[in-house]
Amino acid sequence: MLPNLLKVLDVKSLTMKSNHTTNNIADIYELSPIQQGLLFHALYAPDSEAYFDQNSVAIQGQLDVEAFQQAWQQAIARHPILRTSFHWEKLKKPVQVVHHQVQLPWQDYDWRDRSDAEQQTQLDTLLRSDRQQGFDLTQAPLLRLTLIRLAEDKHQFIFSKHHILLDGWSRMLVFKEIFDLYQSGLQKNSSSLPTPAPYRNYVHWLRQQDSTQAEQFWRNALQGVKAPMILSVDRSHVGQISATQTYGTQRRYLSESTTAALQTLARQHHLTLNTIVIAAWSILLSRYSGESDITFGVTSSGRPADLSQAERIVGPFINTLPLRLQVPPDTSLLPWLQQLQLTQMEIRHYEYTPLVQIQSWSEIPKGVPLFEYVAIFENYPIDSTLRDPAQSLQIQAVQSVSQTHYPLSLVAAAGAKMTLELGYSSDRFTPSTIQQILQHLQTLLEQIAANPDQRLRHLSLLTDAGRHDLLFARNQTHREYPNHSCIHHLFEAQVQRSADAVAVTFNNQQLTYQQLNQQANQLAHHLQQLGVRPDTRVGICLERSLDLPIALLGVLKAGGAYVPLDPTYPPQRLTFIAEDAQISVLLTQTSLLPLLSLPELTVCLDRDPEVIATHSTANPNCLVQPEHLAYVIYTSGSTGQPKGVQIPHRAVVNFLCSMQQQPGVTQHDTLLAVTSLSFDIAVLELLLPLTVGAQVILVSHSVSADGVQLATLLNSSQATIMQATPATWRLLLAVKWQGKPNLTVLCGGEALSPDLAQELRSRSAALWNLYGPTETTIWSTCQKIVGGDRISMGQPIANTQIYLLDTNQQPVPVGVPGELYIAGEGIARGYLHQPRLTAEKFVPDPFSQIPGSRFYRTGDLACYQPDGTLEFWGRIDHQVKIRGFRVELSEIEAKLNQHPQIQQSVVVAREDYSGENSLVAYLVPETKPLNIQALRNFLKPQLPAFMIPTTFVSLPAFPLTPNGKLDRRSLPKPATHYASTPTHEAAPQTPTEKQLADLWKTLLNLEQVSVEDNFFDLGGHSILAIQLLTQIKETFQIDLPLRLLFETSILSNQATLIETVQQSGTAALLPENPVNLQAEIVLDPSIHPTAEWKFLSEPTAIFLTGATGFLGAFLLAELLQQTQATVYCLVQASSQEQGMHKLTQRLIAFSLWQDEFCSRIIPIVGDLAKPLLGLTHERFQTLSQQVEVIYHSGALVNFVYSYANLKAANVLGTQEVLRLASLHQPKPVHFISTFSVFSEGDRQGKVLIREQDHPEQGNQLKSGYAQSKWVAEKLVSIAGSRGLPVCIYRPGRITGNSQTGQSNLDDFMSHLIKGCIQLGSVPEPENDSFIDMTPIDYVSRAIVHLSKQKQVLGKAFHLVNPHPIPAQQLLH
Amino acid sequence: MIAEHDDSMLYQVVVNHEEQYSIWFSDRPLPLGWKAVGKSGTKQECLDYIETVWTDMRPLSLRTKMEEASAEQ
Repeated sequence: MLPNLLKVLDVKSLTMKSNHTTNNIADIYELSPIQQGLLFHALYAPDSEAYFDQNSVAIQGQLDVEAFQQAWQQAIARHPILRTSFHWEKLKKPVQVVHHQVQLPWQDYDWRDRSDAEQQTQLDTLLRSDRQQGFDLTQAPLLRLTLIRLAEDKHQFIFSKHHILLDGWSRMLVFKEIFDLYQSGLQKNSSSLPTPAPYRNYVHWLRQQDSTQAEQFWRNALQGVKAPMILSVDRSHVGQISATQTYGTQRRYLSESTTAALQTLARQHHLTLNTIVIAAWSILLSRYSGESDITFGVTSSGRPADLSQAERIVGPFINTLPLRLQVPPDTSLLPWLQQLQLTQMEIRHYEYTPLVQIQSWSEIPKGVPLFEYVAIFENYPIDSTLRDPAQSLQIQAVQSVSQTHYPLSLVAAAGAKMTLELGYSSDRFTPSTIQQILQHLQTLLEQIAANPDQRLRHLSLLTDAGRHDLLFARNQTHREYPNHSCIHHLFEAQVQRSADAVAVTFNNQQLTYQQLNQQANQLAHHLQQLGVRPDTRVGICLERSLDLPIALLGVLKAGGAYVPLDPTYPPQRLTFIAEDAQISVLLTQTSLLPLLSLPELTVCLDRDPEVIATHSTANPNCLVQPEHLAYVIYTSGSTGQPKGVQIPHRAVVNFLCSMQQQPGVTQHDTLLAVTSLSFDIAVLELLLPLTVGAQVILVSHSVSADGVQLATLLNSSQATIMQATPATWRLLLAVKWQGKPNLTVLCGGEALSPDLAQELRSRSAALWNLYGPTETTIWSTCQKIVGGDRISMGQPIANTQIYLLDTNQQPVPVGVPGELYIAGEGIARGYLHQPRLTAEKFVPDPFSQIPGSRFYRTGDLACYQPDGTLEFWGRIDHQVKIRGFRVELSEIEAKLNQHPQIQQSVVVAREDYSGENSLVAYLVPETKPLNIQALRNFLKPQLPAFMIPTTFVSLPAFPLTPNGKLDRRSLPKPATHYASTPTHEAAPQTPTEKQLADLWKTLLNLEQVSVEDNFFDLGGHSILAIQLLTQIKETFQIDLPLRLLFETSILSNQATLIETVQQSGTAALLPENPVNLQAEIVLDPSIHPTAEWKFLSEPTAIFLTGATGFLGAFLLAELLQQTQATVYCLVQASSQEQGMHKLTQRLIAFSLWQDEFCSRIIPIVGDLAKPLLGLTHERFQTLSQQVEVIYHSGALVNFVYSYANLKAANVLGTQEVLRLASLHQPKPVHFISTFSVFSEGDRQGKVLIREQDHPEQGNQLKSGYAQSKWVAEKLVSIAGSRGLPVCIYRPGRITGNSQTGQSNLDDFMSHLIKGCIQLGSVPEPENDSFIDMTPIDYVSRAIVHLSKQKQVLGKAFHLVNPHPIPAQQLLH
Repeated sequence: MIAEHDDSMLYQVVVNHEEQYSIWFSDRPLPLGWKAVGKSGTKQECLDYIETVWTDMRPLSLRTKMEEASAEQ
C-alpha cells in the first residue's frame, strides 16, 4: 500500500518540507473526520491558540530523569500517532504521515537557584511562550516535553501537544503508560505492556461504515433547524468568527454535597452525570435564548464498540455532534432527563459522522454554523488519571490549557466537587456575563439535586437573592402623594398660590391662573348643567388655542372624563372614537363642526361664550373620586381598531407628583407645548406646569409640524422645557437647530437612539429619556441621559414597579431580555367596553404585596444590563424571522443611521412574491441621493447577510401619525419587484474570474458557475475550501489565509480578493488590531547564558542572518573582506546547493562577488520565522557550538504588513537567534535594527536623537515593521541584561553603493522614485523635512568595523548621514 | 424572544376584591387577593367567559361609593 501511495504523493515536496527522507516514512493514510476539522481550524486561524493542549504538572519525589525520558521515548515508539505529521499542499485530500523515528522533543531546565516567586514568573512566561510557539502541523512530532527542576525532589513537567494527535482519553492512556514504562525502567525490567493497536485501524473502520443510514438519522434529528441558536447575551453575530479573538476561561466548583446528591440522583434513576449536566445546560440555553427547541454541540467519545481495542487506541476519536432538544417548560424533570439520556444514546450509533457532513445534511444555510455553543463532559478528571501507580512520585497541581474555537464551551468534569468551566471568546462574551452564566448553571444543578420532582419551568436560574434584587430591590419606589385628590384639585391649589401669574400663552394671548380657573369653572358649571357626571365622557375636538386648556380643565372640574378627538385625524376615525366612547357632550368650535357626526349635545366654545359666561366662576362641587376617569385616550390596536384606555384621576395625580420631582419643574419654568391632546403625553405639557405655577406656551399644529418655525419659536421664547418624540426632535435637527443652552429636553414615545441622544445633549442643558405606555399613564420610567452608547430607560417613577418576565412570568436574569410588565399607581382601569382585552392585558401581579393587584403586559422587550441600566429592546412583534433567523429590526436601523448620508431609517419585513419575509429599508437621505450598492457595502461588514435589506426605498420624509410617531403602516410598498435571489447568470469576465471559475467547476463538479455564486451554496465545505486554497496558491502564486477565503465566498469577490493580494499582499486585507507592544516583550526565560564569554578580536566562525537582503549581502561581503572567518549564512532554500546559489547570485548582483569567497560561505538552510530557526534540535545545538559571533540582520521587511504578520520572523526569529547565542559558549550578537524604532513620541521636542536615547514610545509606532523591530530590540536588550554581549545598530535610510551606484530596487525609496517617474509628478514634501540617505557600503563597513571592538558591546549606534538632504531638493 | 404560550395551555378565570376579572395559569397557586370563579379552559375560552360576565368595569369600591352617595342625595 505504501509504495502506491508514495507514487500518488509528491513525496519530494513532502520530504523536503519535513526534513525527513523517504526512508523515514512508515505509513501514509487519510485523516479521520475530527482531524480534518482540526486541520481546517488550524489553517483558518493560524495564529489562534485553539486546540493547543498544554498540561503542566508538578511532580514531587525523587524523579529519575533518565528513566522518565526513556519512558517517553518508548511511548513515542509504541504509538504511531505520536510520530505523525500532516500534509495537504498539492494533495487532493490531506494525509497524515507516520515517521519511523522522530527526535524526542525534550527540553531540560534547572531552576533550583531561583526563588519560588522567580520560578513561578518564569514558568508562566515559559507556558505562554510555549503556547505562542504553537505547532507546525507538517513537522513531526506535534508534541513538546519540558522538564524543569525546581528543587532536589521537585520537578515541573510540561506536556504540550496538538489536539489533532490526542483527545482527553488518549492523553490519559499516554500518561498511564508513561508511569508503567517508568516503573519498568526503574526496575530495569522490560515493559509488559501489550502492543497497542494503531490509529490507522480506526480510519480504516470509518471507511466501512454505511453513511446512508447516518444521513437518514441526522436529517431526521435536525429537521426544521434553520438557524443556529443565539443567546441574548452573545454580543456578536452568527458566523463572524474573527481569527484574532482571545479566549478566556472561568471555573466554578459545585459543593461536595451537591455533587454527591447529583451522583445519587443519577444512580437512583439510571442516569449518567453527563445527562444531568447536559440537561442543566440545555435549560440554561433555552432560557437565555428564549427558545424551547434548541441545538448545541456535545462531544462524544467516538470510540466504536465494534472496533477491536478501541478503548486503548491512542489518537483523537472524540467528535463534536449536534444535540437537538426540546425543553418544554411544563414537562416534569425526571422523565425528561430519561428521554434526554435516550437521545444521547441514539446519537452514539452515528457518532462517527463528520460534523461537516452533518451540517451539509441540515437545513442550516451554507457557511453558517450549525451551533455556536458546546458542552463537554469529562469523565476522566486529569488529576486522577495522573497517578503513579507505585506511589513513588506525587503528581499535583495540574494546570491544563486547552481551547476550542467555539465562542462558548462548557467543560464539566466529575470529581468529589464537580468542576464547571466555561471557555469563551471575549469578542462575544464579557467576563461578568460568563460569571453570571456559571452562577445560573450552578443554581440550576443545585435545584435539580434538591428536588428532581418538579417541572422544568419551576427551575429558576436565579438565586433567592438574585430574584429579590430583580423583583423588589429595583422597585423600591414608594412615595406619598395626595391620593385623595383629583387632578383639578392640584390646579386649584396652585391658583391660590399664584393667581396673577401667567398660566398659558398662545400667540399674543394669555391667561393668568385666576383667569384660566374662572373660565374653566364657568365651562364646568355649564357641562354639569348639560348632565356631565363622574365617568361621563366629554369629547374635545379643538384647534390649539387658549380654549384647549379651558376645555380640558372644564371637563375635569365638571367631574367628567375627556376624550380627545384630534381634528387632524380622518373623520372616519373620529366618528369611530366618538361612538365607541359614547360621548355625551362634545366640546368643539364652529370651523370643525363639519368634521363630525354630532352627538345631541355640542358646545361650540367660539359660538356659545355668552351662554358659558352666565355661569359662576367659583370652583364647582362634584362627586368625582380619584378612581373616576380623567380621560379616555384611544391608541391603535393590533386588531386594527383603536381602543380606549381609561385613566383614573389617581393615576394622573401620582404621575404629576412624580414628574414634579423628576425630571422636575418649578414655577420658574416655561414649557413649550407641542403635542396633540390625543397623545397622552400632552397631559404633562398642559397640566404639569399648572400644578407648580409654571407657564405653558401653546404651539399651534402648523408651527409644531414645521421644523424651521418650531426652531425659531423655541429659541425666541422663554421656554425652558420642551417634550417631544424623537421624530419631532429630528425635525429640529434636520433644520440645523443650534440648540438652547437652558433647555431641558424631554424625549419619549419611541426609542431614543444613541446618536440622537448625543445630538440633543450637545444642544441643551439636560436630556431626559422617558418611557411608558398609555395603559400605565404617560410615563412609567425616566432617566437623565448623561452619555455613553447605551440609552437607559431608567428607573420606575414613584409608586411604580417594573418587571422583566419570561413566557412563564418568571423574572429573567440580567442580560436576558424579557417582556416588560408594569405595576403600580399608574395602572389604567382597563379598555373601555372591552372586558376581554382588559382581562388579557391587565393580569394578576403575583409579586405584589397588595392583595388583588394587577399589572400590565406591555408587549415591549427590555433587558437589564450588567451595569444596572434598563435597556429598551423594541416591540415583541417587531422581531421578525428572516430565513429562519430572528432579526431585531431596530438593530438594522441603528446601523443605517450611522451612515453619514442617512438622516433616518426604518426597516420593515414584508412578504415578497414567494411569501417569504424580506427586509425593506426606508431611508430619508441627508442631501444627496444614495448609492444603494455603497450602502450594502457599508452594512456588509457590520451585519450578517440575512440582516441586510433586500430593497432600499428613499423617501423625502417618513409618514407620521398625528401623535408624531412614525406611521409604519403608511410606508409605501416598494415599487420594484424584489426577487429573493438574483437568477440572472453572470458569466465570469476577467481573466482572474475565469481561472477561478475553472477551479470551482473542477472542485465542485459543476458545468457552469456565475460570478454571483457562493462557494458554500454550491456545495463547497471546509475540506473543499482547503483544496481551493491550495489550488489558488498554485494558480495565482499567492499566499492567502484560509480565513479570508472563507469570508469571501462569492466568486466575483474572491476574484477581487486574489487580485488585491497579487498587487499588495494580504496585509492590507487584514483588520488592524492594536497590538500592545509592551506585552509582546517576552523573552523565553530559558535564554540565559550560563558560561562566561570571551572576546575574540579575530573570530573564525560567524553566523549571519539575512544575507540575501540588501544590507545583509553587503555585510556578508564586508565580513568576508574584513575578517578571516567562515560565514554561516541562514538562508531559505530547498537545499544547501540552492542556498549557496541564492547567496552567490545576490553578491554577483551587487557586484560584490569574489571567487575566493566560495569556500568561506556555508549556507544553513532554515527559516527565521520558525522555532530553532527551522533547524533540527541537533543542528541547532551543533551550530551554536560552531559559531563565535552572530550578526543578525535578517528580517521580513514589508511596510504594509501588520505586526502580527511580521512577528514570527522579526520578533520570534530574534528570540531564536538569542537562544542560539546563549547556548554553550555565549556569543556576541550584533543586531541590525532600524532608526525607525524611534516614534514621533520619542522624537518630540528633540532636535537630535542620540545613541544614549532609548526608543520608549513603541506604542506610538504606526508601521508593523517598526513595531516588530522595536520589540525585537527590547528582546535583545533583555538578553543583554541577562549577560549576553549584545550591540544594536540602527541605520537610517540606506541608499546605493557610493562606489558603483548599485542600489536596492525593491525598497520603499526606489518604489517611490519609480512611481514618481511613471506618474510624472512628485509628492509635495513637508516644508522643512529632510531625507537622510546613507550609502550602503558606508553602513556595512561601519557595522563590521565597530563590531570588531570589544567596547561596543552593550551599546547602540545610529548609522545615519550627518548631512541629510532637504526633501524639496531631492524630489525636485 | 417572548412567544405566546401555545393554545393548549390551561387558564382559569380569576377575580379580585374590586371585581376585576383576569386569567391565571390553571396549575399555579392563585396570587394574593385573587380567587377563582370556577371557570377554566384555554385562554380563548376564559376570555370569552369574561366577556359575558364583566359588565361593569368600574372597581367595586367606586361603585359602592357612588351608590352610597346617590342614596344620600
